[in-house]
Amino acid sequence: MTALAAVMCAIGSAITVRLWTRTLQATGRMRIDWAFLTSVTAGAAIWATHFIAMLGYDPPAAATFDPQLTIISILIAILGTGIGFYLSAMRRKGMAWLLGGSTIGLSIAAMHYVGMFAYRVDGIVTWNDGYIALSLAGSIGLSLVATKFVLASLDEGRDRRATRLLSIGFLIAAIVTLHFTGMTAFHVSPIAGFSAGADSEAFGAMALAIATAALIIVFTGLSSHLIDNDTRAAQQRELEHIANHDELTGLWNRRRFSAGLAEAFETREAGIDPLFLVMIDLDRFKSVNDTLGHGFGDRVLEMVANRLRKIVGRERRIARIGGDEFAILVTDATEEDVADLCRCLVEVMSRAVVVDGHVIEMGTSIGAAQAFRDGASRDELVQNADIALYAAKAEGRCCFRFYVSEMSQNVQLRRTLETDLRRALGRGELAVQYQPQVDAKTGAYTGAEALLRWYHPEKGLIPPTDFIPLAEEIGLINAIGTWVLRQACLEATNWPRHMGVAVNLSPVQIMDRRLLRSIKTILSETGLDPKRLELEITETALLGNDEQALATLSAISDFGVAIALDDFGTGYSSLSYLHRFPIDRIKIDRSFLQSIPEDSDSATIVQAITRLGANLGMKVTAEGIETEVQQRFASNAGCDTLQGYFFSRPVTSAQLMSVLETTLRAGAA
Amino acid sequence: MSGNQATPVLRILYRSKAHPIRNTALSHRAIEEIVAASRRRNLADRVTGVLLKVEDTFIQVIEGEQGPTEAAFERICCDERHSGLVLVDMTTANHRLFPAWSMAYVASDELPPRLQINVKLKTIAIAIETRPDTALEQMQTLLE
Ligand SMILES: Cc1cc2nc3c(=O)[nH]c(=O)nc-3n(C[C@H](O)[C@H](O)[C@H](O)COP(=O)(O)O)c2cc1C
Repeated sequence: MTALAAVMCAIGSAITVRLWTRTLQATGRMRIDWAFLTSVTAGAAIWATHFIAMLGYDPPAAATFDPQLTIISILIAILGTGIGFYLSAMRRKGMAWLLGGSTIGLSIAAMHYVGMFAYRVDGIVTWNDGYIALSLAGSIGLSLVATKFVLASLDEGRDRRATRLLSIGFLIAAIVTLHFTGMTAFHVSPIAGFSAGADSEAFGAMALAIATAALIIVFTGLSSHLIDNDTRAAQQRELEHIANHDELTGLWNRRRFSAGLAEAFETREAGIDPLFLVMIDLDRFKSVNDTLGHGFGDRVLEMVANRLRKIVGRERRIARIGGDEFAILVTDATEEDVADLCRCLVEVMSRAVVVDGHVIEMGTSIGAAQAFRDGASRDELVQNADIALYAAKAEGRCCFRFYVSEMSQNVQLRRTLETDLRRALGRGELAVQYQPQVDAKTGAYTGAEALLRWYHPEKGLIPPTDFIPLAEEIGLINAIGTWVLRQACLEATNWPRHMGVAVNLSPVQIMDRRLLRSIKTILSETGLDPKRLELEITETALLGNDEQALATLSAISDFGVAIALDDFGTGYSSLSYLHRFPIDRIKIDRSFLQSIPEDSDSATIVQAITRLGANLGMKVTAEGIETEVQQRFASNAGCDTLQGYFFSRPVTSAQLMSVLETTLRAGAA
Repeated sequence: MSGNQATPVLRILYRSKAHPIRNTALSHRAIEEIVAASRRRNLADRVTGVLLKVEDTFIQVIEGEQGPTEAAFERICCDERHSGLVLVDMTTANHRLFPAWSMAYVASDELPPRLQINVKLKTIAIAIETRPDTALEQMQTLLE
């Protein structure tokens, strides 16, 4: 019987410790559930150990069990250890150990002594206080050690199995020690005349109860094992999914994409099985995020991902590799198929997205490259697909391009130009020249337009049309624009007071909230009168960002700086701009003047614009005047100011001043 | 299925070409499938509307509660069996224009040619470009 009790105790303890570690690892509600399961096992084990041992105990007098107290004793074991297990999972490690361990030790003892009260003997029972105290101390002490090891088994870098085994050992020791020390404290003297021996009926019932308890233990142990395996497998799957997929769209993430690309490269025989990489970039998605918020942007991205899935079909190697960038790996397809796919994607992505009553119009640019043909290595393939994507974007977006090697050269050229441009400002390669403007009636100089020049050390003079768009794209335009403004204002201070200076503003600069402040700073630092400064903007700058442009330009205008509308007549001239924006001057696009006198339409347009300017109280400048005929026409049409090679090419400030001096002297003579 | 007065109705009007993006022809069979699938989905989602095929142009109206109608439009946008899709008009209204139709289908090239209907369809196809409201009215009378 004692051996059986020991086996019961060992199995129970082993399962208990196993469940106990689950309790310690769980959080919140789960922790309570695990603590409960642990305590049912532990309680049943302690209880069964005790009573199996009691069945084997041969009392010198007749004995039986009190059913109520027997049941109470198992409840105490379950409840008490349950509290102990729960406490042992507290955040503060020291307290967890002390409170958890001693509660468990006490519960084992409480179960035992209540169990002893349930054991009814027809004799005189005496208790040895010393042994009782010893049993209590032993139980608590050994439980504390068991708790210590269980807690330690969760620490990193430990031999978990060994630590857990130690914990099991000490738990067994606590239960066994308590029982036998407790039994030593218990003494029965038979009363003469009563029969000795056990009540066999009660003992039979007891055996049944113990068998049930044992089943409970094995069952919980087994089911916890199964649950564990299930959840672990599920967790594993979930973790893998999280690690490999984009949370928002469920597509592959960058990591999985790289791995997928590597796999594809490994499994494809070079040059035999085609492998394509398709890179997709949404056009105009950023403004969705900016205007409707990221939450909304996320929903749009989900829909975009869904469209990709639908179009790409079963072959699901689609990845989200950036905010609004996607990539697809296509195998077992011809170039024709891939072109069809890309065309399909471009079309479907250009269709309106309707969400929450908003209509989102986006587009997509796509670049594709074929492995082994357009790139022997993975990196090359990615790079070339990127270059093709870039080419698609440069070609006006909403289209797709297959990589061709010329693209690389263009990109290379652009890259060098980009680096050079970044250095140009610091190396003093940029300069400002001035094209004078004259009064149409008197022919007197009224001012000059500042024009930016870049003298490249190797390539020579680079026209602004070649590098300004690049500067806008790479975010250099604000720095360059500010430099030009400062330079122009500084040099204009040397000119006669009646002469103004006109400086071009890029649309990007107008969007910059710091523009007004930097204009004010430059004017105050150079000492130029704001009235002598005129800023030239194009109509495209006003398109789209109406409100902000209006606010910025109004503030600039209030400060006394004049605003001129450049290249007038070419863009989407909407007359409403003229009314709404604080525009002081219209500059007629050079193309109209240059086709005079041959083109009568141009003549009509020039006359219409000057009339319009007069009606709106705006000055009108004619640009691009190259001949006397053109000069006379523009003056007669009613233009206020003229500008062009007929008067002067753009010159340096010094040259301009010497010209001014000679004309002044000539005038004075 | 009657127009529910209490909840507002979202109505989307678009046109597209009856040419699949990847191949050129759209068979009768394929159109039948599209219409059947549309009716099935729309019936379940309480979406109603009309699909017209004027020569090789689809003109479609879908209407219903906002969520289901937007979802139906998204399904239409995911469908590569038509191309050149242009959203013409999107409005909210108090009731449906086509409460009785989970998806009415009228085509101009049906046999035998029905001259009158073809002329009406042609008129709608022209009106949709500039006067969507008028086009919708004409669609209603077409179905009466
Ligand atoms: C011209 C045309 C009209 C369509 N009209 C509808 C429609 O009214 N409702 C709808 O749910 N889908 C419509 N669709 C989309 C599909 O026919 C079909 O409903 C959809 O592919 C089913 O998606 P599912 O397979 O995810 O259920 C239309 C497609 C085309 C090409």
